[in-house]
Amino acid sequence: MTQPSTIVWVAADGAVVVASGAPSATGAAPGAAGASPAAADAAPVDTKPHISVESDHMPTQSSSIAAQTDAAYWTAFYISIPFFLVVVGPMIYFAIKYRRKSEDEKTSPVDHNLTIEVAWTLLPTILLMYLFWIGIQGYANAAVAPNDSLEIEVTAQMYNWTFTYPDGTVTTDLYLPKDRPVKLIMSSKDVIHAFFVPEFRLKQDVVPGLYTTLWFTPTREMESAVECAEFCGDGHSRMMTKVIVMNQKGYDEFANNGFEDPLHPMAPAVRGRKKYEALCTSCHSIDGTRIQGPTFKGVWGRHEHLQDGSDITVDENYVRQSLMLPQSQIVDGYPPTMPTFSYLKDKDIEGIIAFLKEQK
Amino acid sequence: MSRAITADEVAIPTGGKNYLNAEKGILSWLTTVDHKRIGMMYLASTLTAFLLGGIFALLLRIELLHPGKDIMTAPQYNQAFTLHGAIMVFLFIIPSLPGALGNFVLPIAIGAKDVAFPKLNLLSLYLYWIGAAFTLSSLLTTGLDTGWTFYIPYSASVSQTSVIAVTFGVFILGFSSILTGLNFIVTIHKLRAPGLTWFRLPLMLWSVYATALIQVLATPVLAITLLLLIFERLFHIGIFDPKLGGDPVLYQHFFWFYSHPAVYIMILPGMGIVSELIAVHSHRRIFGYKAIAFSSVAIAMVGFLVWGHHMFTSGQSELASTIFSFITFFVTIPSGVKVFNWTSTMWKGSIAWNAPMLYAMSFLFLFTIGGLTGLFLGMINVDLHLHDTYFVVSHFHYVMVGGTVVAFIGGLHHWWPKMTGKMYSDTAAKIACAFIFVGFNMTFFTQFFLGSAGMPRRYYTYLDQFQPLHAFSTYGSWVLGTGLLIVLGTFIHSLFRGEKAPANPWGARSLEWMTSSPPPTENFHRTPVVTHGPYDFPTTVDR
Repeated sequence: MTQPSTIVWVAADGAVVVASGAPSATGAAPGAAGASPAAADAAPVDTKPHISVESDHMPTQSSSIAAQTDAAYWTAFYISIPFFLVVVGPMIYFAIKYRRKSEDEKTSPVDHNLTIEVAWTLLPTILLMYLFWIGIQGYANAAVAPNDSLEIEVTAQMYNWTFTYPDGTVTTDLYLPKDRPVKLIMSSKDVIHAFFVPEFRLKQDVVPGLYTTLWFTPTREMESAVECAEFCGDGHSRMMTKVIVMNQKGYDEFANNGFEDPLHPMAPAVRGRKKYEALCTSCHSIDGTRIQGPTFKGVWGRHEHLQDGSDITVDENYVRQSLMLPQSQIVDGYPPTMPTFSYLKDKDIEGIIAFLKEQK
Repeated sequence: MSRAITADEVAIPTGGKNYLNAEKGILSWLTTVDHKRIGMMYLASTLTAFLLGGIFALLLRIELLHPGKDIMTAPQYNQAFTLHGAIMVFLFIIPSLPGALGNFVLPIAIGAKDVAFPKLNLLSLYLYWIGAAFTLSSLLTTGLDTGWTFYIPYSASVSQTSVIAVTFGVFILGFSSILTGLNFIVTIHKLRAPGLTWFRLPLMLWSVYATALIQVLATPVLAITLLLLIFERLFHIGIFDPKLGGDPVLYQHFFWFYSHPAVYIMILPGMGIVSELIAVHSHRRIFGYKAIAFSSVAIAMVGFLVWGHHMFTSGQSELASTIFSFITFFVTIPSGVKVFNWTSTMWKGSIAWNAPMLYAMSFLFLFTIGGLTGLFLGMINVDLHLHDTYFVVSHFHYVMVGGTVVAFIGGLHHWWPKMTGKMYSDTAAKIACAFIFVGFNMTFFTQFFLGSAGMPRRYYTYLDQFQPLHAFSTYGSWVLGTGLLIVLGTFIHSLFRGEKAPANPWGARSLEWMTSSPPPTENFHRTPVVTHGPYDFPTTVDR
């Protein structure tokens, strides 16, 4: 049951970084949200959160299916032990008892026995079918989600996870309510990843071009690791984030507050950066590169010529309008493809504004 | 016709001529069609690959001593584990048992002069070398970092390494494997000595036969799959990559349709060797000959129907997973039957405590653990937890190394006198076996605990809490490596200083021991006539 208070993370270039880990439910500023390994290398301080798996032999059971999985595991274990002893015990006994004493020893002529051969074929077959049956029962329970499940979208990308909640909030740590069924709807933006939480006893590949799902009910308030379990490249072993299970009341309050600890609010620009990284990166660069939409480099105060012929200056109202009704103010020369982000909360918008002001 | 043959009758003194000294010069080796010389060249080549893959393994373990960097960066680590896997699977385990031991033993053990198609046999070896050259060329260029499984889309569109060179190399290696399998099937069907009925075949040959069936039937699927991967990478033809309209899960189906049967290509010859070792070094009729023989064929057949158990978490349908789980439990039954028969064969035997027997017993111990931990992974719900963790790493090393490699080394000790005409130090060999057994268990038993606790595989760095177990595993790898070095030293010493080996040092009954050590080029001077089974040792009751 180890829960070290500090964790050593090592950047890909070998620089050792010790992050003091007062584990906070806010998951404050998890490492410039995953980023590329190059970016992680460049960052002087790796701000990956404190993570550990609570574990002696098997990790602490923390989901509705974990107990059944462990029961199956131990059933296989207790069936294996006698099998092993039946093979290896006589082997050692015979090796000692019938050790060759002279070269011309004669040996037993018995080379088959139908009864015993049928027995050691049928008995294992029955036990194996029993194991199959237990495995299937557990799997069936893990297969079909109840209708009232809380649905969360999981997006994997080299090398970070993002989680989108029903109200559109996006986080880089996974927040879950205790005792409520959760259904994860997962997809990947690049290569195959796998979502793995040892305490939940669940693993599912996250595949590009395909939605995969997982469902379970978290049964314990906890804070642990989401690990990527399918090799995905240079940053594979660092593609981890936190999963935090809170009681229902705490979760509701927390969710209403945009998954932010009211006692330790984020700086607006930090919140804005998180939103940017979760929502905007595929169309807007911050390094001047033209993608789908205009770059955010030097965006603040920029004069833009719009499609309808008018000219504007990028200010607070323009940003807000672009998020709420993007089609009304398309910059000339860009496709009118920006989706509406009217679900964003006021303080998220303020955060984005603060973030944009920093993009010089 | 009913007269038993003896070594003296078939192995007429040849004036010191044998297959090793019949012709001289490197060209006489490179142009030979003698199955024994080809086998020895396979042995030297595959052992070189084993050494290379082993060095990568030791480097990996050193890197894993601590989280973060010990001796290499994350990209270097990914290359090291990829090359370790690819070299061990494609250049060592798959070709070594059929190519080296199979080639050497099979024709002699059926009383033939050579395999059915000797020139094709040489072509197999050349294809192996060419394929190996392509695969290893990656070491000199950009390496390979996809894992030996080449999962798409990473291998098709992301990896910047020599994916094409290596997959093309593996494609060529596949043809080598197919041709060897074809050759062995025909040889066993057509070239058995008079009186050598199917049920008088040494069990090693049943295994090699079953293996050959898989090589011929499964390998083309890998070849096609890798060719499609090359096309996808070169010409952007969308087959597997979703960005090009393909299906990445389809790739996994194709890949495992070969690579699961390939697990049996690797383990079946090992099982064959162990059948020989236990019966011969116990001087006893093998228990359940037919059960062992038919279970090999059963494994080869059912083994084609379980590939989906590698994909329980891949996104394949629940129904498919359920069916694959069901068949997977069935494929374990023939393996279980074999294990029980091997133990029973030791009952009232005359058991020699020599190196080959020690390896055979190590095999039984380790393979049983490997097989039983497979049960955990066959249960779908348990696999959801253990899949792609160190539990799986440990499980397949128990089967592939604890099973196949231990059997292979045991077999080498068994047939070494026949191959080289030299004995080796049995004491040194037993010490090496002890090191290997202890080192292997230290290295890999630890990893079951790592996997159960949630340590994913292919991780360059890891959570602090796993460090003590990782360190213990690494210390084990040093003990294991020491054992393998002692094996190498023992054999080198034997080559230069070993006593001359008699024709039949183990008192065995099968044909390969009825000719001189080393055998003459044509194996036997007279076609032997077989009048008894391969394990007809003197019994306490006359039959």
